Amino acid sequence: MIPIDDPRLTAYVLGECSEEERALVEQASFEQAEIAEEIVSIREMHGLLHAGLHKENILDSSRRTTVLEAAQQRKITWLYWAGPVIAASICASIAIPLMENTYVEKPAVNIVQVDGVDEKRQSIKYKRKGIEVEESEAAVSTTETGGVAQFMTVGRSAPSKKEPVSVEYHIGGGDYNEPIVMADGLPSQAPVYGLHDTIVEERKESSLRGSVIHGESVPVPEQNISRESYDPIYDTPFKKVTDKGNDVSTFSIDVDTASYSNVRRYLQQNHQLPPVDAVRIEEMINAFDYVYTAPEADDKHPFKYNVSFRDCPWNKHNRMARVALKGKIVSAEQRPSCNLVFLIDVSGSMQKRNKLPLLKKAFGLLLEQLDERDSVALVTYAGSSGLVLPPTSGAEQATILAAFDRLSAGGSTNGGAGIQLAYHVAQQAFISDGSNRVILATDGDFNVGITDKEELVTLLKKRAAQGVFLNVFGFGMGNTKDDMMERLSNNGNGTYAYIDSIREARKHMVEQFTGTLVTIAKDVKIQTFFNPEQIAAWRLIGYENRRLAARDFNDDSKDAGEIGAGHAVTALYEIVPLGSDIPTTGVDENPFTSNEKQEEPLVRVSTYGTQPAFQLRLRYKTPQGTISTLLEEEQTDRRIVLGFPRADSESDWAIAVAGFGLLLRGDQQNKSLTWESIINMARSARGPDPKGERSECIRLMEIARDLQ
Amino acid sequence: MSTREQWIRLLLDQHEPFLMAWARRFVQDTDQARDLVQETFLRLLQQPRASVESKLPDWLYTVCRNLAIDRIRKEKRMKQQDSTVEIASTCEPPETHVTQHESLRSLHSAISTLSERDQKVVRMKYTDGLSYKAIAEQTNMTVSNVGVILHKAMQHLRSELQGSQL
Repeated sequence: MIPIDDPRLTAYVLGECSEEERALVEQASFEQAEIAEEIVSIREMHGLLHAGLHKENILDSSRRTTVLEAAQQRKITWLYWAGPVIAASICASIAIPLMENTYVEKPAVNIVQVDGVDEKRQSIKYKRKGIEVEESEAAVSTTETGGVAQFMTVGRSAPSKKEPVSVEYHIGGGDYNEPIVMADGLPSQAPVYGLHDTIVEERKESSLRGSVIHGESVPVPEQNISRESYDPIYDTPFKKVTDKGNDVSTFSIDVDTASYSNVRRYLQQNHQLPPVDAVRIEEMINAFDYVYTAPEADDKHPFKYNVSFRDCPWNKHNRMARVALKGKIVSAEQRPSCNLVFLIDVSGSMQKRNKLPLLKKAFGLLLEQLDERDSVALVTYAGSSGLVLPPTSGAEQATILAAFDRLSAGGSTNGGAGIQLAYHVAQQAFISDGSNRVILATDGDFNVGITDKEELVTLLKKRAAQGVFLNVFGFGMGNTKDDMMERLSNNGNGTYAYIDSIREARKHMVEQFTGTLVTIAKDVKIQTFFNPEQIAAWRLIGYENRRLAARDFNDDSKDAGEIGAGHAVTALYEIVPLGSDIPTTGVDENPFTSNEKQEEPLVRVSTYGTQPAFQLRLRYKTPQGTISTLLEEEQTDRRIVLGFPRADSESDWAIAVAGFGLLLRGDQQNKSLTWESIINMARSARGPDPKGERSECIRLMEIARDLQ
Repeated sequence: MSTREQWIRLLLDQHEPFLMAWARRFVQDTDQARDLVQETFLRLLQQPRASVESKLPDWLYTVCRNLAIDRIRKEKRMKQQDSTVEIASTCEPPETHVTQHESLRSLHSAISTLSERDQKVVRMKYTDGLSYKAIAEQTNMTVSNVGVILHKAMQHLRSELQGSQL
């Protein structure tokens, strides 16, 4: 007999017993049930401690310290804008010609924000060329998510190029003896004033390299740090129809194409595979023209939809369902009048050949399409923002082109003020029944002078509701704030395209001119109810960032994507007919409980195709409408019954591009999804390809294959 | 300690072993896995807390996985040869870890209720993998002393964790 809290029981589990003790404990565990139970409990605790504490399962102390030190650093975000712009956008009565002169050499209000603040008394010193310009005490607001201190300083003017600026952050109000964080940068070399470009981030990069910057102005070499940023994309797993809430798929359509151009840029110009989060599969698919039937001019709905099925090339048991939408075609003669306000980023980083010069050529193409029906205005933004060209008739091509030609790059970015001014101008020149748009062109270094992103989003939504939509065109590389651009265009009822070449510019400015400028339906949502008697599981390929909650489908206040004239939209579902195995990608595997058996696959049944596979529902609003129209139809996969193994080549092409995207995103759930199979499929689905776009895509697939 | 640091400390305590297990599915060696987990947390710190908090913990797993893929590709490019390294099959961020392993997530807070001496002994045993004897030598205690301390400490942790689950 041994007592239940004998330390030898623990020693036994930990393998620290002598032979005799071991025999004794084992004997006791046979005779005393409570001892056996106690040993099980100790083992559980032992396993838990091992999982949570063993050095193999945790960071070593130096890495942990690095993370915790990084957490201690206050994150300084430097936002600033020129004061008069705010006044102008609030006070709508100021005449536009007056505004033009007020943006130069006026005081700039600097807002510096510091995250992670606990202390009550804070102050900031703002230095230019090492000389103190301003000091300011903060208003500290502590929220649930940690304290934020905001400082406002008034500089004499925005800092010029190559002028060292620094911010010193002090705790304790008037005591300036020891700055807690000192951050420095040169505006020309490091665009430190972007929304995400915090000065401290640079310091972090530096401290990772092992040197701590303190008290000196240290330029950060641009080539070492990629300033591109992408929102993480969460891969869509297979969803079992029988699981609660998983029998329905709801998402917003998306006609953006920026991701494809960006992928092309990576593969062709950089000879690199793109970062995983830069690959948005739906944008790759939608970057191509498809031969879909467009609605007639007198059709009731502004777009036509069609569903087709075929076998899945990378899993012979699965089916692919393609949902295709095609917007009404609007000819150049029928198009409404356009009120366009170009908002052009002329910050220093735009100097490069593939930015401002390409931008001028690209918009030159667009301007050629305009005439006396239209109005064009030009607003620039950099260190200060200004109206370069007041609203001018589209017939005055020479005046407009001259204004574009005069654009030159210089200064740092102040996008927030620029966007307010652009919307203000657009509102002033508003054309009822026309297409009213702000067209933003930038390399992505978009600083927000409005205190935060949310306010900007609110502004965009408000203006979109008033009928001014937003197009975003990205240019250049190395600086792309892809996540920011996508968010702006989504909230501004607009599109986001990435212009990497004059050919891509021609596509958006000339070939799809009316698609770019004329919205035919807005807030287009798709909802699919899967039939549990036909479908075991499904996944939507792409559209990860466009998924909506099921209840948002009927909620007309919830924003969704727009379709432009003639735009084609394609969405692909990979569906697992009832009776097939569900691919394991979507099933969570738990590394701590790996022995659980998977459910046995059901016997394959042949009733698939005898009933509708799903019900497809669509909602849309007219461009100025507030109430949505509902379309719904049941879809049956008859081809398998009728013995047609394949759908048309248009659907094959979309699926091949989807496979390309899946491979780029590292989706290796299936050994049959290989570069060769995708390239072969693309070759046979290429079709006439008059513009060579599909052939180019096949070359990109080959480059990617070789890089991988 | 700033609230930001407390936040990160808590996230580390709760998710570190899960993220390490997750990272090791993509890279073979522990050191590389640690790099990935460290980088994941450094990326987290670059995000405004308010914008990312609602997406946790999925955000951590997704970013960790994507960093892993980018890293494997970069290595392949550098080696300029076909590598045998394979990217593990993609999968949903392991949400089940989070729901099924409440005990492990609460482990660090339970450990913090132990006396400093007991915490040290537990860590010497589990993190450093030392034997009773080695621990006794380093702490100037007897072997049976160490055995009693560990035994009591584990009993205490069990009751703490049971309490936290109620």
